[in-house]
Amino acid sequence: MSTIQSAAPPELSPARLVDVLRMMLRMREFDQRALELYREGVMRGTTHPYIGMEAVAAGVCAALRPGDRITSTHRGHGHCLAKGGDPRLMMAELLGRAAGYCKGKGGSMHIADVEAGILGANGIVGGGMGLATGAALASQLAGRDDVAVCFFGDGALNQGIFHEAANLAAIWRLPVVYVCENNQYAMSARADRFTSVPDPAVRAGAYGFPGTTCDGMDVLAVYAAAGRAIARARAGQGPSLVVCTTYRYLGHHVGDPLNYRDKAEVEAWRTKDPIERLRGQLLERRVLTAAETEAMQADVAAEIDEAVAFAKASPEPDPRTLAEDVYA
Amino acid sequence: MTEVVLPKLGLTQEEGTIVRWIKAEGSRVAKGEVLFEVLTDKATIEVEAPASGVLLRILVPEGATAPVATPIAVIGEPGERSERIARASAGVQAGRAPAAAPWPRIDPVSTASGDGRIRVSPRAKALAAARGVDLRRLRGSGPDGRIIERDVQRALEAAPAASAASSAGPASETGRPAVALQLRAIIARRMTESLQTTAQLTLTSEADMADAARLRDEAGAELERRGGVRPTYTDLVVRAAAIALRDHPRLNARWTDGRVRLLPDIHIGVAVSLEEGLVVPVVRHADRATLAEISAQVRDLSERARGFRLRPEELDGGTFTVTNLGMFGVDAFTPILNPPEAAILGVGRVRARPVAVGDRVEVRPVMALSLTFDHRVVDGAPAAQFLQRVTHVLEHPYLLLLP
Amino acid sequence: MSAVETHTRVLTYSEALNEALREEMRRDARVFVMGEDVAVWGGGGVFGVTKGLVEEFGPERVRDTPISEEAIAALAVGAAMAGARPVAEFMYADFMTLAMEPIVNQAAKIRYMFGGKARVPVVFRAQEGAGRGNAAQHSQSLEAWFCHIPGLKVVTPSTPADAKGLLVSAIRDDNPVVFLEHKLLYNTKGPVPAGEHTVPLGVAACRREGRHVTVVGIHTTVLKALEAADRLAAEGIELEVIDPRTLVPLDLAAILASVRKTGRLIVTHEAYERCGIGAEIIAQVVADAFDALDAPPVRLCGANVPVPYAASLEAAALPQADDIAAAARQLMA
Repeated sequence: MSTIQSAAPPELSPARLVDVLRMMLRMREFDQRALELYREGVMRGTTHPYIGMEAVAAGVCAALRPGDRITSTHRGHGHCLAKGGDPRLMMAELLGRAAGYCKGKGGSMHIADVEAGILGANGIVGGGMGLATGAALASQLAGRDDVAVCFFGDGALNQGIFHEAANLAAIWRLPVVYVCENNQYAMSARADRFTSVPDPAVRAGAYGFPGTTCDGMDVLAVYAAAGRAIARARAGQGPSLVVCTTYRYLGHHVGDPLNYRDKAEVEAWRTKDPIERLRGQLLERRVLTAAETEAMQADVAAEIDEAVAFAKASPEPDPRTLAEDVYA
Repeated sequence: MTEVVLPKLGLTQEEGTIVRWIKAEGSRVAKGEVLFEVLTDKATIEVEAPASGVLLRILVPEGATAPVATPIAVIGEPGERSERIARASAGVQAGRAPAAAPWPRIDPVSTASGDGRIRVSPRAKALAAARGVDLRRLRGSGPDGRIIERDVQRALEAAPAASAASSAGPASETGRPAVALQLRAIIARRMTESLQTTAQLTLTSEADMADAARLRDEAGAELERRGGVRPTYTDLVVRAAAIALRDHPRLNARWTDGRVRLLPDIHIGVAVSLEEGLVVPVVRHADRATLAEISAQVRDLSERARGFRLRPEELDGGTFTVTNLGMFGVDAFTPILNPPEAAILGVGRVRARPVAVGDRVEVRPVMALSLTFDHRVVDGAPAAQFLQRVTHVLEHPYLLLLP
Repeated sequence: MSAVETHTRVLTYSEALNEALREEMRRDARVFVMGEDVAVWGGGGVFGVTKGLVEEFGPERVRDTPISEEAIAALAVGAAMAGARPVAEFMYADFMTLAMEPIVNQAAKIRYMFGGKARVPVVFRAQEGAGRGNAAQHSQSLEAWFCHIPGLKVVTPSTPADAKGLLVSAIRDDNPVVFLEHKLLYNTKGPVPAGEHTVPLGVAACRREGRHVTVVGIHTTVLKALEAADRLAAEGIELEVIDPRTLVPLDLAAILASVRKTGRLIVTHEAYERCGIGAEIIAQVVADAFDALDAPPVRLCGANVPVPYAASLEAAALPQADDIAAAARQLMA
């Protein structure tokens, strides 16, 4: 493991810390509500809950500027929210309504807001790898200093595109940050059995750029590591790999039999819950009172309630729009 | 692989019209199995398959006409290539070598129509519909005998008025339009030829049919009791004519190569009127057949004639013809000779008429007999004697029962 | 003659493509080229299409890549989403197989999946085709695969003028365009208008008028059809040769108009016969102009075999002018 030599990002102010906590609460509330909608039968297809992993998206996106871009994964609601996505438009998209981000044509795995720098959740493992790298290329060509962040999981480490993109990013010194959310499992495939090296971060070394590992259950640790990587990229020094060790409390998708993990392991990870951790830290530092955190929780719940209500009240797409937007 | 060619089924036959394919393309046929029906210049004939195998391709569809001895179908085994044969026979223009198949195609077994459908391209069909051309009258020059645009165009150029007129007609009622048109043409040709080439004239006489009627009833009842059929007046006349021809061989003759040829056997044709036209199946050796046998044969031939199921030999070889219009209320008429025969006997209706019997007037059933004969072959006196003999036999009908 | 010279020049297909790239890169700073050996090799590109570009535009905008087809395509898509207008080159269409994920799952679908709120203005260029003994993995014509995917446009120019005009239009198009050239056409010459020259996507060209048989061809089969047409003219058979130029969107109206005139259709392409674009064209013609057909439509296409190496075998595996002529004669028999 090599450290990223750039400067650490500026410390988050109390106000920003509160925002980060709120964002994590929002992400958890959103995915829990999505699960309920799915069980209600109102949502189709499937959903991939981010619950437990909130610190990664929140920490990374806290270090980004509005002009920066991200690519997300199939487990992408958290990324989209953290980058500024609107929960109402996201909920509407989950319910396949015309008012959704994608006019009901994309669903959970394809939520995008290109204007806001969200280059889309992606249904293909590793699908965002090349896209983020290409976005970084465009920035470099245009002489901009914006950065592209690619969120991906431990499973994508073994897709060919990871290797091709990493190599290209390295030889061209592209302003891209590869954030590997190592939640230990790619569906049922355990990372420690299916990846040839015990520490995924060393793969960056194979391509000649720094790779580092951080505690993905600690949003401040994620922020610090990601912040350095983003600074490096913005300074034109090229790519880095930030591996965040984290855990999804729930299955890969709804209906996952979960016979490949044991409950003790899940319980152990829950004790490191990132939201609890940050809340504890903010209480300790007296940035917030207990009552304020509860109020925040209630606010967030109300926000998501409103998003769900908005979505449920939205009309479904007109079948006559079927063939629209295939071509520009 | 065997080519099926259109057989020559009569001495003078030059072409035939396919009436019906009994087997469909793609089906197995056995050698000797009936394969198709063809209309010749006489009537419809069943033809057997010359070989066993699969009927790979039908080259001449139903309703189309082909010259004798041309290929009309191909029998072989699936997978054998028949395109070359199809193209060669389906009207490739003279001077243009048939092209070899340009592509090594994996040839599927062709499905489609030995089922009576006309092969026609959509373009030709649309043009024909728009311009009132009857597709059934066309012969297709496209592959596999398909009617294509140029066939319709040629029809339009040739006879634009005629094609409009031909679209409707009595033929459509029977469902055998092609056959009807062909038969009419044949009859037209033969009747004209008969009148133009022979010196024919007609003698008439009358027969008192009282005794014949009684014989017909009584013998008829007996025959029916035995499972046979009641003889008709036509049957009686056929038998009477056969008996009379024994003694008057000049009427059982023909004019050939500038001289009279007496014929050794007596085969009497009986005219059968169909909607499509007249056909004349032949009762062979009518002089050797009993009245019952003649009656059964005439009944069978008539039925099969109506179903277009006569065999070639049943239409050929007649030496004399009997034709009855009595059932239509005709008394006497002038039948036209059925070439190359020398005589034909027309039968009128049996009518109750007042007749002088001795000095008294009685109402008697009387039937007119009209004998047309070819004066080149026989003169009036011998012809009249023949007619007298026929009349006598009918008036003394027990003579019909003698061998 | 001099008046003509000022307005058209004779260029090779390769030179025409080069001109298109050069002019568009001058016109729009967002346009850049990337691919294997596009910058340095032999002055620019294995077929010379990118000749001299790196000298004018620099190695940033004329970017050699490692052998990483999937990433070439994926980066092009990402760059297009982030404001650039990339022209990504694949040395052989056969290698696009490695790039199918970003082309099919990302480029083609992003606009639609994102509710019309994104654009992917990327051009994927490659060359197809057989006839030079490059054997099975370097000789394919795979346009049918791309035609099958909604969201892609597919272009197949057969002349230098069309190569230039269509590439300019493809670069300016805000959609992902699969731009397929043919290896045997690079050195063919033809008149190319000087100055701004665009050919719109989705418009076919009638290369030769005729009354008897419509022949629709792609790339080299257009030329073979014209050769067959010359021969058949002496026999009194007239071919009408239609070059669709764009396969998606297809100018079906032009093909239908021709078939309504002639009543006979041959579709010929090098791509394997099975499920090739010929099947699609014929299905559409039969659906829309059944009553105009005087004969069943004919396909003369690549045999359903991997392209063989030996000259005689390769020739037998591809449709030739002789085959087109024979098929036309057969239709006219």
